Amino acid sequence: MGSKISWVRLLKEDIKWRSWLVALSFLGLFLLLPVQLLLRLDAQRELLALEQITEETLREVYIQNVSFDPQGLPILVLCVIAFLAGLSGFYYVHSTEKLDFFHSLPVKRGRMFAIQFFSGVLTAGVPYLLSTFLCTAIGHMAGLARAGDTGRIMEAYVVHMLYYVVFYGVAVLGVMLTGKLIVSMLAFPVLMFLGPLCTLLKTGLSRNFFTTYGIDAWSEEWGLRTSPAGICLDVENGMADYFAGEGFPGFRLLLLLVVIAALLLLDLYLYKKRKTEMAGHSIAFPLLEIPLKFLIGIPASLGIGLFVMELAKTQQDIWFFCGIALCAVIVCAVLDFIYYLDIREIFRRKMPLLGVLAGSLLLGCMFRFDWIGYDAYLPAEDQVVSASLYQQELNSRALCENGELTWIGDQKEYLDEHLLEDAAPIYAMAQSGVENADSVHSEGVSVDLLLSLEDGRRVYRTYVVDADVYTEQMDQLFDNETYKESLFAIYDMPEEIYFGVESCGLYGYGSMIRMQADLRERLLEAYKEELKSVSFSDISGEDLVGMLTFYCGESMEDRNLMLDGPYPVLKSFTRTQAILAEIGIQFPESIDASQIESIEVYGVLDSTSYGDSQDVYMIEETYQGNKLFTARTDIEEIAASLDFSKSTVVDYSVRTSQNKYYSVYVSFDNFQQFSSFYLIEEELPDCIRRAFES
Amino acid sequence: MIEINNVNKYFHGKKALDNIVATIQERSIFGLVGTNGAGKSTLLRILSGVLEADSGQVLIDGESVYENPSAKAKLCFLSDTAYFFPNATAKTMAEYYGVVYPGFDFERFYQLLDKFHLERRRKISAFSKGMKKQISILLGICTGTKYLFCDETFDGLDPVVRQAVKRIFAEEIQNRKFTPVIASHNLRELDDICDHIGLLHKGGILLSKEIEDMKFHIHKIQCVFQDPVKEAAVQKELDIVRWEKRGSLLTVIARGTRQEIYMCIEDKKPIFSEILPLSLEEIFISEMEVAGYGIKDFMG
Repeated sequence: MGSKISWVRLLKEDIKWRSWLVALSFLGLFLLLPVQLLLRLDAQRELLALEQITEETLREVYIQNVSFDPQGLPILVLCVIAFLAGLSGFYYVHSTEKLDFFHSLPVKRGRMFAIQFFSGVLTAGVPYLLSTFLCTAIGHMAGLARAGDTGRIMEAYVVHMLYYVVFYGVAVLGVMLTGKLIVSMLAFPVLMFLGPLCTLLKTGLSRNFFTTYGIDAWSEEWGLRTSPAGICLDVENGMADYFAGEGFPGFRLLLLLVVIAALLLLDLYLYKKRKTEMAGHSIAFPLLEIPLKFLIGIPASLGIGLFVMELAKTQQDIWFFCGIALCAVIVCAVLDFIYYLDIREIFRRKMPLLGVLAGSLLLGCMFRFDWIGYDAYLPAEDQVVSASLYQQELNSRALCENGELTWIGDQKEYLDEHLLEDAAPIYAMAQSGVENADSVHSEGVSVDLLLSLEDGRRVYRTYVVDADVYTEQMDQLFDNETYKESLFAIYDMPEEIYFGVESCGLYGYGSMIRMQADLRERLLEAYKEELKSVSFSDISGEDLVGMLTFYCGESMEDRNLMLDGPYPVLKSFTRTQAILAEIGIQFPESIDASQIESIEVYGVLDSTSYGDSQDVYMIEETYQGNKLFTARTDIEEIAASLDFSKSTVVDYSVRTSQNKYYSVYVSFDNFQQFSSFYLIEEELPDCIRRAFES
Repeated sequence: MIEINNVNKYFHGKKALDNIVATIQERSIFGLVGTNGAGKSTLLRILSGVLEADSGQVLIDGESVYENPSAKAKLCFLSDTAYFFPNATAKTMAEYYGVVYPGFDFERFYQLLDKFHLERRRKISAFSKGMKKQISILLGICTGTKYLFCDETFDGLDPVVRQAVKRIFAEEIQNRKFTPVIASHNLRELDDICDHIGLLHKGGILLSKEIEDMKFHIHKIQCVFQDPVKEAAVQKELDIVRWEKRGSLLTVIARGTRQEIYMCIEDKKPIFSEILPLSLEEIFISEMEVAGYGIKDFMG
């Protein structure tokens, strides 16, 4: 007799009884898709009329609305609808009365689940499809649609509906695991975001306690994927990139499908296994009560401990561990209350509480005292097959990628793509960094590096390298042509792209000067030749007389205008300087004091550390103020101590003890031009020293 | 036929049903009696496939019921608190029942609605508790299933409606294969309708008997003896279940056939004697006392 029951009729009945959700779904999607598109297009048309944007931009607005857009609202709306659909479709499992009705019907539970689930998908799927059609119609009427858009739009629809199934599956999972509506509602955000929160926590703890912690490759690549929502966002980013010309995100889509399959199977399994008598109990599977305490309690305790320590600002361990202990107790009490809804039940189960407390404290100690040896870890040199280096000031410049200038997207990407087979200099920096890892107050140069090992592992670290080691190893790296060419885009960029050049010397920045083709060719040829032979010490030493920045694109009005530089100019770059002199660019080696109007010197931001050891400290900061020098003798004395290597433009110079630097601002030509320098305490002219001592 | 074989059920470690063994014959009205918490609803839920027994088996016409649509298609379960869809009317509920029970008799349903003066298009949420029960019963009857499990269904019905429903049950049994199982804590409610009674107490089945069988072998007699010796002789000769004397009037409940008991009494030449009808409750109390249970302890 069961075979006579029609799937379609049951489905229709279920949708009929949830027609409110269909209406809400359609309203939400209608407002956020076609209506929103109309409003945006209208606003953009005004900008088009003012020639602030192009037709292409208008089309982008349209296509983003119907295609892939990581910041798009449809995903958020689908998430909300999925949440409501999950709760409304399966909430009956929380009610004995409803279960008596539904589970006594001659319908297998698996079939009942499938019908409910599919009906929930339709409640969003149909309104979303209709809204998408409306948006497409708007695009056609506005003349923005093109052939080939249909395929892309349908792909977006299908993929977005896959996201919907993910969110829906998670909502249903929350309902299956619990027995009360309010607990199901709490379960949804926990299931969605516990993974990324734990990843953030791990990053926070590592950043706080591991001095060599820098790039967290695993978190960057997988952190987002620990959440169903993150996996969807990952796919959305991948698909948006795909339609912008990047590769197809096959792996991400596959992961999404695996997650969907896993969620569906788990939901069905729990639906079948769930005991009817658990309706009305907070947690439908009592065996999960204790594991949930650990899963939620331990991360929450560690997170709160970290937060309390941040608030205290004294870096005392007591705040960290007390925060952990207090939160462990509170979280276990709250969970007990949620489980039993009886204040007398909290703290009755002491073993799980002790377990959460012990686990949290253990993990806390693991991070705080680096029991895993994170900072001390350095693979053996013979295990390292290649390495790369990133230094903030040196590498904060444009790169050449596929013949185009681009800024570094992120450090990890840079390190992954600029590995050098001759890893010895970088390894030597790592060794210095490991030695300095014990102290948070090491003086040196901060670098990010990657060691790629023969077993495929990649070790990312941030080290403070001794200044002399850094300079020595950088000199070695500068002997590596591959490294130098990757650092200076000028070696790979097509010459035609450079249309202008700007100089910076002792007197500050000059104006951009357009280069004729002939001069450009000669300049670039001479400069590249002279740059090849320099070492790192050269470009950060006293032979440095100035910097050049090249303007790339069509003109100053070019929307894609990029700046390539700054590039160092040394005293020994005679050919380069001669060509630059043809267009009025000169690099004097000293400042003419008669041209200086005034000099303002800013004192140091002094910090004093307190504590029994360098690991437990408090910082007290004091500021020495500033002094203005206008007397001719003072100006002459100060000017004589300045050379371009001390200029603030040379930000890659090795400067340790930064809290001991004085900033010197020089005003020229009736205050029309400025230049700034750093002077360390040992280099201070007497007039400055006297002024600050008085 | 419904066979209940050694069914046990636990809730959070506590035994709700303790080794239940019972048989429900077709075309009889089975009354399931017990106090609150005896396990009536639990047993009905297991029979309906809503709950799964922890051990034992329930067979409906030889088929296991749990997760078996074929067996469940033969039954309809009316819970003590009926569920209706939000904003449902009798008509829309019937439409849903018609989908899950393809044999649903819409014509008969609407006829019965009219008979009970229930509006088919009015929202059920606007009905009284009793009217909701009526709709629930009518829906259950019109599914056309062989078995109808009613959990305290007659509670909340006024006496007139109760009688009307009992007549409908009788009609259904006469016209087709129909076996209602009615759970109640009220013996009086089941008195004139049930053929067979099962008594549940603390999860166990204490008694499962045909009512006629019970009534045939136990009788109540009121009599008056002038001679105390004859009175004592009666007490000695009969299988006394209960002996109560108020003044001269003796009320005796004894086992045996009507003829045997009557002959025994008349033989002693009483001043007065009369055999009175026994209510189901009186039979039960008597039987329970024999079984060693103080009925007053658990029949509220």
